[in-house]
Amino acid sequence: MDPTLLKEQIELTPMLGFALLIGLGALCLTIALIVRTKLVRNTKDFIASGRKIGLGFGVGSMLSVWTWSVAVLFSAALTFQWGLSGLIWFVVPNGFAVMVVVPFARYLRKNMPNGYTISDFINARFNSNVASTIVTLTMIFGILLEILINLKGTSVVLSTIFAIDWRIAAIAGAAIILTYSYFGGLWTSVMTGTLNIIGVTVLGGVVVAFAIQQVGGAPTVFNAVAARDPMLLSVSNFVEAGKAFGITLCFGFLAVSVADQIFWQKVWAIKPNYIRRTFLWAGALFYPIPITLGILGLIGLGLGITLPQIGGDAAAIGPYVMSHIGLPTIIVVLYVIVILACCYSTIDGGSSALSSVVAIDIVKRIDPAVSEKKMFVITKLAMLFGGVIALSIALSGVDFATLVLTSWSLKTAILLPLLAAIMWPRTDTRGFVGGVVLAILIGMTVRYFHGELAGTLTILGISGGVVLISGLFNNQPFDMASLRQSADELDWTAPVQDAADYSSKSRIETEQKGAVS
Amino acid sequence: MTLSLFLTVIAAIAGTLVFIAGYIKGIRRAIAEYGTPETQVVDKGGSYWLTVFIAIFGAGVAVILLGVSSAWMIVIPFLGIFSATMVGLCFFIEEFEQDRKADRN
Repeated sequence: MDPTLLKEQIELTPMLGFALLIGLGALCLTIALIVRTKLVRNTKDFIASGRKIGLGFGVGSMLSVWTWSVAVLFSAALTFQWGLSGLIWFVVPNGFAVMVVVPFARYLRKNMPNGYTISDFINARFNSNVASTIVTLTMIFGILLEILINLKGTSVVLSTIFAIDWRIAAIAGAAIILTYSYFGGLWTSVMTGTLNIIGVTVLGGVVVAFAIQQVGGAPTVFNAVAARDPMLLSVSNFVEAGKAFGITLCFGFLAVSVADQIFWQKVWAIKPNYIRRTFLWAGALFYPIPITLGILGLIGLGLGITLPQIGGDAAAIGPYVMSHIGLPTIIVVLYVIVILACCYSTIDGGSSALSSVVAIDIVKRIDPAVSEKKMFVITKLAMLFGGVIALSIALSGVDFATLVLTSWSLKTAILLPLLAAIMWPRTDTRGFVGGVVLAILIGMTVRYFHGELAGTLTILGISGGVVLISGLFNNQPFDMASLRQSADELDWTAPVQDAADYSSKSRIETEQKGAVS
Repeated sequence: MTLSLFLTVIAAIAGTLVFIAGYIKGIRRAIAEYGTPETQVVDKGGSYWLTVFIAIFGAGVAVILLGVSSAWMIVIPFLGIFSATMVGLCFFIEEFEQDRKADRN
């Protein structure tokens, strides 16, 4: 492979970058306006899609919200740093984290069919303000960081490839995504996210195939990497990679999926007969995405690119390879669409999840008698507010690596107590709150002094241990069947906003269809 | 353009067509179902751990194969296209099941 072919493409102008950003946003806005007209009349439609998400949109939207820009950038980055030993640690637990939700999602949906948020479940399960507040804050914190990370992903790619000021890229990205998300809530997120999957999967496959050909073909890449170090083409560094980042990453993925309202919102919005297949298939169909894009890391290794060459950040290897090997501009543009599609779908998914948390866990709890009209407005504004906060943090220039690690630690602390709360009736408030609080206090301290792995294992050990011990002493198991009695909190009868085309005729027709089926 | 790249592009176009056809079907179904009663049927279940194991094992093997032969570097991009095609097919599967259920009723 010839490293001298590496040169920056000058035709990638900022104007082209903005055109891509706005063009993708305009497409999503069109879908959002259709959704608003046809499918969203009240808060329940806005935050739970009327519990009518089917298999196709279920699988597509789960895939899209789970495919962060991180999945695209880090799969190449870890391959670049560790060879296939890095890629395997990134890939295998990633899809598993989606599939592992299945038993808990099915159990909870069966026992609490009228739920909306995981904090709402904790509130019903423990009847404790402390427990539900801990979970609510963790969810809000986690969602804001997911929006923040993906906003950062958008700005990094646009600034690296199109030389756009990263602050302007972040502001433009946030404004575009929040505008279209505002119009349709979860339905918009689900439909635009599913559409973005075509960008991530198909375009991802095509751009990687073009990149391989551009550098001389697969045998050339293979031989160049083997000549550099044959270990890079094997998983023989599996144990070292696991100790360095793999095990922590593994639990991090599990914590992010299981303790994430983006997932739970969909558990209560997907038709109950499709929950198992949605999560299973989304997890399985996710696997090809990081494996495919990880090949860019191998190309970077084959070309002998060094870390200082790409600014010291391994995450930049994918964008760097794509914009420096002399590919036609259209292929680079397609690669940018891959990353923008990831960012857009995760940010709108996060905004939608935030709206459900605000509606159910804050507004409804403070003012149970709130009118539907008021709730609908607050829910929509919450999305904008969350986006503005995430954008402000991104623009402040703070190093949010610490925020991300803190968020993952909080979610790791909640992981086992939450699973126990769902599946083990003997789990009690004392064990849940005590486990989470002690795990955070002790685990974060251990993490500070002894590193990520020791910190993560301590958090898991303490949170799980306290829940277990407390549960064993609890002689009054919770009656899970009582959750079925909980009423649908958003079951208002009068719509606030009539869908334009929702004529009385079509309404009668659809109701008749429903009655027949 | 090499044969492998040509085949990748053809597969990408075919996968996109299946996806778009399914996607449009999905939007139409969602609009048609608006206002109908919520589905109450709970997922019947069945074994999922075997599927989980197969998916994990398959993913691990796919990564390992990347280091066995350069041919796998050509094959892997097809898997991404396969994912999109399967999402498109999910819309058809859903419709097929709904129609079958309606026929039974």
